[in-house]
Amino acid sequence: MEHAEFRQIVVEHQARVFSIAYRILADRGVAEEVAQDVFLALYGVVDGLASADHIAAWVRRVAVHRATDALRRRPRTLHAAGQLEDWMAQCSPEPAASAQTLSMERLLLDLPAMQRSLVLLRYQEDLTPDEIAATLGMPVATVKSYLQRALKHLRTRASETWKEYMRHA
Amino acid sequence: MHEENEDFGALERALGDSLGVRSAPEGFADRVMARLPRKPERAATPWWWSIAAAVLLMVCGGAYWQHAQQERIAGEHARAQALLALRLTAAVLNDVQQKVVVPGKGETE
Repeated sequence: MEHAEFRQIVVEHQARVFSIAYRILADRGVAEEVAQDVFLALYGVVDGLASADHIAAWVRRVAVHRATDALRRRPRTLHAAGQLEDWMAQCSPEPAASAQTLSMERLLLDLPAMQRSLVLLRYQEDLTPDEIAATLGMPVATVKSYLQRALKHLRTRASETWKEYMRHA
Repeated sequence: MHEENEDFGALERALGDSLGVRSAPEGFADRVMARLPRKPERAATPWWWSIAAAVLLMVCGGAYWQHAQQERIAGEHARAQALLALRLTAAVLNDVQQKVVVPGKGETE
């Protein structure tokens, strides 16, 4: 594929890929490295992908896998107060990131990597459980079970934040 | 149970509202493109290559035309010879016929 054409694909999918990586890793620098690697891998296979939908499914799947692999290699917790403040500081430069977005992203970090990935595919990418199962090659029942667990966990951890959101919604 | 479902519904709406995609960092696409493998550049064709190709084409075309002309001439010569041979044969046969089949002048065996 010509570079000019590939660049258009990068521009079309860069926000999606970066968001998935960033919300799994909670580290802007590592998220960009992972996102770049996703596109470099895509360049090697893009001529074999049949359509725009195939490309979108491919980048979602590979972004999730690479980000969770990177997280596994570099486990981190943000329970220490200093780390949490550092994290909040590095992710706040974007004026478009609302307080609700930051709160939700913080809550996501309480989830195990797989549940976090599924929540992103469901609510960021707006995929149905069937589509998530097809994207990741998992049984639909497993996807639904993980999503249920994730929602229960988020509800438990987010009661104060969520009530604040509902008050202003 | 109903309250729990309502809670989940509200939480799902909150997740959907809050988790829009974040913008990629400034210059992200440029950095990706800079890391792509470079395609090997084709060597530029020298300017005289086109002229040499045209001259070669003309020489070959001329040689073919000359050969075709020679073939045509040879063909016409062969045709003329064949016609002459036919005329000669016809004359001989005519002469033989005159001698053999003339009424009243020598009986045929």
